[in-house]
Amino acid sequence: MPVRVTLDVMLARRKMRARDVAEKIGLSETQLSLLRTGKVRGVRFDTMSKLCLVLDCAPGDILDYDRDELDLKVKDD
Amino acid sequence: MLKLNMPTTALVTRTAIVLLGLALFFEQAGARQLLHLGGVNSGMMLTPTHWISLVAPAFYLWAMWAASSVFTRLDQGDAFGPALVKGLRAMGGGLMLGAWAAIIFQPIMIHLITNNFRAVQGVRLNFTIENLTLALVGLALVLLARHGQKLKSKLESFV
Repeated sequence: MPVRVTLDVMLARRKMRARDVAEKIGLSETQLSLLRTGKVRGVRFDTMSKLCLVLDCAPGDILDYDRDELDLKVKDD
Repeated sequence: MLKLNMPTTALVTRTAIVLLGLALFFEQAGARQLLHLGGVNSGMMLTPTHWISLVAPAFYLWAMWAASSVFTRLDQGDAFGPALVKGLRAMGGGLMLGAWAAIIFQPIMIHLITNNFRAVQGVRLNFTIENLTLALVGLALVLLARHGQKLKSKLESFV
């Protein structure tokens, strides 16, 4: 999937540990780890809001997109 | 005072199951006594047709019991967890099996037994609207449970 999670970059910039962020936003370490490695299907808006608040950033700082024309042909399962 | 850890709907359903089970038992026993079918074994009711006629109602009672479990789970706030899915599947399965027993198994077996398993021509099926409706509702419940489980696992893959 061309949407990339760049949470690791943001964590490094803010010099924060994933464990602390997970605790602050109410996610388990496993869930945050899955998010960091892009192994989730999506992020809820409320989770994103909490992340942005804790990391003092915008959603675009956590997510990135690699343009791919084939994305329009992907069927929703 | 005795406090039951069960919602009213589940309690009413389980009470109904017990009462319906007893009613079924006494109805069958009464019919046999009335028709003088029992002979020596009348008290024991051991004829195969008697037991076969109880197959479909037994499945329906099982489905009702599963429904009471579903009510309990819903009351406990179980939002489509594995236990609820299992309950819905059991409910649907009970209704389907009961309906198919009433449509296919019971008529054929009772017919064969009453004719002492001699070669009997034709197939006996009991395709009534009630039986078919129950079979379809049961199937719908099983499919809904399956679909719900898929949806739940998809939702859980969102953080």
